[in-house]
Amino acid sequence: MSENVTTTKMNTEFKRMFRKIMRNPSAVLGFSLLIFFIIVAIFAPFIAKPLNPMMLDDDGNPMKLDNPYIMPIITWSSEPVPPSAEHPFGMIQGRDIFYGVVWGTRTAFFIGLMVTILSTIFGIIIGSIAGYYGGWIDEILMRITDVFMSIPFLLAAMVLTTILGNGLDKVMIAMTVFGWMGAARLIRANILSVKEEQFVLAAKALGVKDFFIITKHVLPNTIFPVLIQASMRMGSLVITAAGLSFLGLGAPLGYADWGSMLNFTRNWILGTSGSAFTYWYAVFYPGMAMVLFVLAWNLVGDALRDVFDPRLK
Amino acid sequence: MEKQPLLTVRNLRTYFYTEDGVVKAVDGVDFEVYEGETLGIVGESGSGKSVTSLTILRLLDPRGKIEEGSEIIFNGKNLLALSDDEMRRIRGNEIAMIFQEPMVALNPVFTIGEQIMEAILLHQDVDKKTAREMAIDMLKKVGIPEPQKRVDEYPHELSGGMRQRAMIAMALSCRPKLLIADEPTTALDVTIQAQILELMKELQKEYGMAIILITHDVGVIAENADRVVVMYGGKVMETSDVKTIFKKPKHPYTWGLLTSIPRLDVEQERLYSIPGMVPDPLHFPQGCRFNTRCEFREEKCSLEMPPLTEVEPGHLTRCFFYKKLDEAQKLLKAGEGA
Repeated sequence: MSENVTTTKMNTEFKRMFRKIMRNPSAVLGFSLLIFFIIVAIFAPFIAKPLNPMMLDDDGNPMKLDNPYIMPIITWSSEPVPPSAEHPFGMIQGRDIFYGVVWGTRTAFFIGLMVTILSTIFGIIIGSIAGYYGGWIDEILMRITDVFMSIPFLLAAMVLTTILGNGLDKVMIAMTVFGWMGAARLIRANILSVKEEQFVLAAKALGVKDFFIITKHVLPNTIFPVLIQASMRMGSLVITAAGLSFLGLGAPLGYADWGSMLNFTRNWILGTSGSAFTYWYAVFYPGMAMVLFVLAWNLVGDALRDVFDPRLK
Repeated sequence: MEKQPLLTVRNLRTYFYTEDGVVKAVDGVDFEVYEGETLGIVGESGSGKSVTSLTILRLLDPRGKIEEGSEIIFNGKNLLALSDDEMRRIRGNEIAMIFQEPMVALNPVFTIGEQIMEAILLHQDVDKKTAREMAIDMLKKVGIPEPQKRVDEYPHELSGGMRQRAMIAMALSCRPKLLIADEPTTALDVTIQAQILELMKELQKEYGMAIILITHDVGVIAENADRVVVMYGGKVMETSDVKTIFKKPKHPYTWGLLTSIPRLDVEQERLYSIPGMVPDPLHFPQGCRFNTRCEFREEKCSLEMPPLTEVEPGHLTRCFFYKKLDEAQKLLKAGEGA
């Protein structure tokens, strides 16, 4: 019986959230965009088949790619090729832009999720220890945080990536190392206010252990702002990663990544003399994908805040 | 035969070391609580009564220190000598506490059932299903209607009185020997106050537990306490059984407190209030801490701290000149009669 009660409770709660989201047009847009990107990422192998038309097997069929994330070279034209029926987004550097944008969605999710999750977890641990125990522990941890914050993020990430060597994984490590401070500060500030609440004292008076007081009583009351911040950062992290890739620090040449695709356009961005938009497709499609991706996460972050924050209920 | 006290507090001193100086929130407090009785601790805000209760459970924030020489003996154990782990096993299990604001003393993100179960699961060796049954049982006991349904509700779905009932259910779920109630009814409506106090009395009878009732409301004390400790400036000013203290207060502060209650049976033009303000705990006056506001003050009062003197068995007061107060009361009585 208790199971039933909980499930109906969950259902009504879920319905309430759903209604709230549906009422807000920008939230609907955000979630629709996000769902669209998720679908593209999941069905990438069907939307853009990982085949190499330049390499045929014995039966004359294109061969499967060893690594679908490395965009195959399908034309030897050194100039970007405008969109056509076969290549709807055009081609650049011999590669299909459509293929890169579709598979780049997976890369974007991978980078965004991994970096956000890792840095948020790290931030939560540091922040909750500092906030809950206070005193000299707090002092030391927060000064370390300050040191990390004082270094410009992009510069620090660039330097660390250069030290570690090129590659997407290195970019992700660098962004995690310099990306946890926001979450740490936010959670610490929230804990400082929540730990003075009487229910924390009440839990202590019941004999609850410190660990459970933090995880059960303090964190659930402080976690929402952090989750919202994380979902908003998700988008901007993808931009940073793209920036690093654009500078040639991130993904290897030809990797299906929006940033490295923009890297290809460096020579063509200004078009030809007299017509600046000759190669518009080279910039437009990867750039648009990025803009919409960031927009989706920001709108979702806003919507989550409205729906979840218990204080706004 | 002398009854053995359940809780003995001896020379309890809790100081807070702040940047502005040492705040002597509790400065040498003695009292004992016997099994099954209700001890009322009464005093204005800042008198140290809440800090006393938090000190008993050792729940002070890190700046607060319990000074050497303080003693808290509970059930034969010195609470100040226990390790943190041993202390945790006593909290909620043998000594429980309920708080002033039921609005904020319950965690908003968990159902009240989950919070009561937490207490049960912490101290009793039962599985979740049994704990849930026990939680529902407790809710029924504290008079919450439809406990089967209420157990899955969040604190914000309950009214203030209901929440305080839920708090009591939580505190009593492990049948503590001692319940510390810190202003349990201050935040509630007067009608609900009476209900909650009545409920506490009933449960006290049923469980045979002792209660320390902390309040600034003399009326609450009069109706619910067996014995009273009057605190002022971190010190015990007077202690006695409840009848004696209301009939024959032996300390000017107690007398002031009692006189400042509005009475229906006597016509008063203006309600009496104790002149002055509660002293700043950073700068207590020399000598008796009440001397700056006392109407019976003499030079001696601002020079030395009067000791707790026994004026009759079980009735102690910290005043040199309690006899002067007696006379004043007699005069007043006579005036009232005329």
